[in-house]
Amino acid sequence: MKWSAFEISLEKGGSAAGAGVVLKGPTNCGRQLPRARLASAVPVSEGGLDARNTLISRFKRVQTLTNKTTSTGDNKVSSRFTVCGLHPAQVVAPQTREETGRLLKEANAQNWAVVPFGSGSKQHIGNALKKFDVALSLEHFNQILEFEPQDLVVKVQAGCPLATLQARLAQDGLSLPVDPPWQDVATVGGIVSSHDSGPLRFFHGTIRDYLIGVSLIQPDGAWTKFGSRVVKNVTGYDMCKLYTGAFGTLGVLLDFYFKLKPLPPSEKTVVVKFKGLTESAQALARLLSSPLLPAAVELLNPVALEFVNHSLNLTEGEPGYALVLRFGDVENSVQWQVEQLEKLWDGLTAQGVIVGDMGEQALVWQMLREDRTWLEQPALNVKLKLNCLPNQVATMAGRLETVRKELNAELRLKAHAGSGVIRAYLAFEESASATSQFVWQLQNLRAELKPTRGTVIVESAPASLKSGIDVWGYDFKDRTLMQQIRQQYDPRAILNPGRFVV
Amino acid sequence: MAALMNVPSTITASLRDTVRRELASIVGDEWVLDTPDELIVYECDGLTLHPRLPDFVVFPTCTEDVVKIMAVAQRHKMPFLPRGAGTCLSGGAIAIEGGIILEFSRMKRILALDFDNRMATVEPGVVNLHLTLAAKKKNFYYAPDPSSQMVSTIGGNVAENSGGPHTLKYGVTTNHVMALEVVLPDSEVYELGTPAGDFVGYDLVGAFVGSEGTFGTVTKASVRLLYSPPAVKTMLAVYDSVADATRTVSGIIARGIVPAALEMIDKNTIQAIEASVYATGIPKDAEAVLLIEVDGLEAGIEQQMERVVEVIRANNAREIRIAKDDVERKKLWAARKNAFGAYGRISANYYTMDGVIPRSKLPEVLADIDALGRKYGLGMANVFHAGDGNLHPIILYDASQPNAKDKVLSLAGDILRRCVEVGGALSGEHGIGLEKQEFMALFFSEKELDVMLRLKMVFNPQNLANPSKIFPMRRGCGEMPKNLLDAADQKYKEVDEMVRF
Repeated sequence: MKWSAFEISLEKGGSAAGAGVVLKGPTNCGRQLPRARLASAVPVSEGGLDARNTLISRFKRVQTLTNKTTSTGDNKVSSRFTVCGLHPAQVVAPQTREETGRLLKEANAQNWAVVPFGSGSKQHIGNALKKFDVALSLEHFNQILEFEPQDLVVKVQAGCPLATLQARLAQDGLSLPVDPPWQDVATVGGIVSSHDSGPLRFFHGTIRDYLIGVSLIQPDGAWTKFGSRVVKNVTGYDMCKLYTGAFGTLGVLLDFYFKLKPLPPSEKTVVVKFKGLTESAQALARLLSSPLLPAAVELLNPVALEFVNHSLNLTEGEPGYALVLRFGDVENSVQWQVEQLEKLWDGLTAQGVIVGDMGEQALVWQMLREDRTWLEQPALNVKLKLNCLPNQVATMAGRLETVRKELNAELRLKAHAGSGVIRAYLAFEESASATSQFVWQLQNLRAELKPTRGTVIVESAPASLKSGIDVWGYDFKDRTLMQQIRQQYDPRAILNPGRFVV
Repeated sequence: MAALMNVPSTITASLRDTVRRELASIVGDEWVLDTPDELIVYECDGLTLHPRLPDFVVFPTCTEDVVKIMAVAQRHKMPFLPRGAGTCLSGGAIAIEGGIILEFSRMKRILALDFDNRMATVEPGVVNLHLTLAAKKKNFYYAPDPSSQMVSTIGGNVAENSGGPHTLKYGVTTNHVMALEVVLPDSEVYELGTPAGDFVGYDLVGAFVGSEGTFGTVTKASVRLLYSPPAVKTMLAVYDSVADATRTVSGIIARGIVPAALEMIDKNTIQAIEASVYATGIPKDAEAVLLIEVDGLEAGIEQQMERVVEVIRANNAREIRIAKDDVERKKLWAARKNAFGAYGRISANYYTMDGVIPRSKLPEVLADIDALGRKYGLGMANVFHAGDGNLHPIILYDASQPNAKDKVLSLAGDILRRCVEVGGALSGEHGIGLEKQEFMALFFSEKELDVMLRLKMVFNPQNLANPSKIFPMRRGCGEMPKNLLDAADQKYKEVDEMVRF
């Protein structure tokens, strides 16, 4: 391989690993960035929490709530709390855990369907709700409750945005090393409930690995807590795991203890474009059997590379698949690892850029991570998440290309390649044949991944398409155990009915 | 809490014959043990206070055997439990209700080493260290390394969610298990979790790991393999005050370094080690020693180490030793790993505890533990995972003295209570089992115990898998807060009766 003639100068100091850093603009980039691209990549909050607070009914309105109510009559409020086109009969924002408990107790008595809400950034995931009576907003549970830097532990409420938490932790050189999308608005409660993750998962794992304590309102209204502020704990069953990724079906999570890690003293990002999918797959395989310790290993298809990487001058020459790596460690180690890549990928046709500047690195990762603009096109948009083995990633990326051709679609693909998680964004013209073709292709993909216990989740799709499929497609025997668990705790299915584990 | 007698078998002779015949038809006659002479080995695990002979020990060779054994247990409503090497320190592998022990020494195959995907699939009887040795040929290893790793099995590690000295940086067992094949008491085989990307649905692997055999039996585990860190530096720092040592612990972490290991050895332990064959020349008047290990890439190791040494010096260490090579490194570790053997030099008997507290409470709680020991007139020593806040207070006693065990257990209860008071928990890595079930009400409300029982009922509705563990039982309960215990106890009894029919 060879490095691109254009290399971004390596600068010392600072750290971009503050995963919560939200860039306001091209800070300290040393070069003009395409303004329009930046504006679309920088996450925009949809009307701040404050504005919403004044609109949302306080808890006392629950007293008058009936599930016959059709709408709050306040469009601005109900549109914030819309789930797949369904409006809640009522929006409730309790201020205490007692209020939350009473609400769920009442919901059980009245058979209300309750959807716990953080920022709402993951509400598009899941099957259609069977009904939707109450949106339970956790916006009043948004505080950092305890932070003892030397314990490397923080206690934070579910409604606190990850960005707020990360900013506070960074003041003491610490971070919760997860970097899922929607980072500016996504709340820690939503991230735990959806088990969402980002590129850092290759080295740091997911939020599952950091959750050490949780308190929640059980579906019957009782307040319970499990785990504690200690980093190692085998006292009773590991209930934290059960609530991670449960999509709010086992209780309303109120606050968490997370263990933390120090921010790396030094970081570098490397973007390398390979000749084709085959060569990028070889490069990935070599990397995964090497001693190098990247924090993130991402694979991008040519369209995604173009989208993410406007500023990095890898657009010359043939389009290709790219690996984007992030290294974080003491300075000598980071420098050495970056130097090893040339030897590691010897013989492959590659073109690479090393990004040393902290602001520039943060921008690369933000553009890669924040995918909300990836779907903003006037077409039928579908977002898939494929779970496969790391060594199936390249094959499945190739398979998705054939799906793209069949559908005559555009495909943006990014993969947490070292972890076997592919995120694919398909945009195609809406038609009856396209829909049936898509459903057919989805079935094929699921069948191909089933032997290795891989799965394909339709995370986002138009309601018309979603209504005809099971978005989870989870067809394994242990599903019955999951149903029994749900039955134990929420026998009336008042929490997120129909959406998950039914 | 008096030790229980070894209760004789309660099953009838005809049931014994029937079950024996059925088990023998599955695994062969020589792989079913049922005479007291043979069973005595299985009367306890690392916890010796509650011996009880199982009625049968059976040695399956494959998942299908386990399925058939489960069917036998199910048919006769006979309790069972899976057992690896029996190194559990909390009584998890004791057949406290009799019944069948499934012993996994014939299911110890490494089924796949998949370096492309950085994972291995193993049978439950594979010894922890054997997996690391097998992966070594490609420079990979299995990260969780409990002190028992030379004998303890992956199945046992999964059941107990085992830790070890290197969990500060690399996490515990649950962070390294991706998928399990399990046989539930209804003799159905389930695959849980996945090595392919993220799990979908509830995290049943996360729930199963650490369930102490009360959900069912693991028959296969897919675990992560990590690339072995090419460079390791080990150092030992000697202190004149425990406060300086604990300040060093927080100082290192505040500098952004996560050491691979950060162990503390107290004065009594130093004296025991130095009086034993493992003596390494640590000054006997030292108050505390820290054993610190950093690992990573060759290129960054010196830089990491320099940062740690700066912190050690800034906190008044009187001596720093840095291992120059692997021989010296092993010697430094020998002091830590053989501490337990060395206690024999200073005390007739000792009881190893396990409790966990927030790191910042170390100085306070260490002083409290010392004071409690004096109050009971019992010697205390401490050697523990300081980086994790995972304490292992050692109570030194002489079993020949009257009421010695009662005194020890009472002191242990006081120490656990203190751990919970400062925001800690009952166990960092040894588990609850029989040892701490009566203390569960210190940590959990009645409702919380009920929530956990409901989870157990999904996997093990007839309560045949490792019964009478984890949850409080009606047994002598020392100085437990009576009302809390009674409430939890009552609840357990109700649920227990419900699930047993």
